[in-house]
Amino acid sequence: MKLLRKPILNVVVVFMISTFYGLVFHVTAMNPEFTGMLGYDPARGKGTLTSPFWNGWSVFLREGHHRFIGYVFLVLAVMIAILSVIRRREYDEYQIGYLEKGLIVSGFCMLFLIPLWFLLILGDPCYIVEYAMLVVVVHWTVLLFADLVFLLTRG
Amino acid sequence: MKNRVKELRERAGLTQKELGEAVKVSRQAINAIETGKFDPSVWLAYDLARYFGIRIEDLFDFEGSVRK
Repeated sequence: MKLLRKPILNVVVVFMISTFYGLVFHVTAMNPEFTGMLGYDPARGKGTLTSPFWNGWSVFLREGHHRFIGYVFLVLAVMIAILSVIRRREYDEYQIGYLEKGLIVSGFCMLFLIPLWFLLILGDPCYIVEYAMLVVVVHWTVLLFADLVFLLTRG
Repeated sequence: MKNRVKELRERAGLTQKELGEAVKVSRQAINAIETGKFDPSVWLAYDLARYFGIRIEDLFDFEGSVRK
């Protein structure tokens, strides 16, 4: 786990995934193929759920506003990269210990998330794109902010 | 693990940050060692003991601590 000591690894991973999400969000915004996969169509009043939250989220995606979330991801990734370069210090064994625990917990979460996802698709594939987008947005936003807070507060 | 890091650090008039810099770890790591939340590696324990000029077993209470 010596590689985890290097802050550059953090920058590379955060940058790669943020760029991927940023590009996907930018390309899918207002894309007819993407909007065709969404579960709710306000023009037709079509949708299997009556939930204002999920229908509102679906409309948000349909109107392409999620591209701004992608841009925020990129801005946060740039801020993380700058802070990592300014405070260029290798993580110590205490910090690496926490990082390893975090990776183990996220690994377990992924183990349970995959069958849950599978069940969700089999049970009700409607709104699956909305679910996926929300999971990605919540997951990556939490990760980026946690990373940023760590970089700003570590002594 | 129970230890005398805080006692020796305060006796030396050092802050956690200063001791951390001396042994090349963060202030948080020193704080976690002092409060027994984190057991340092053998090398960090060696560095701390050497810094205070004592043996590892005089700095860390192996007998009075639970083996993990």
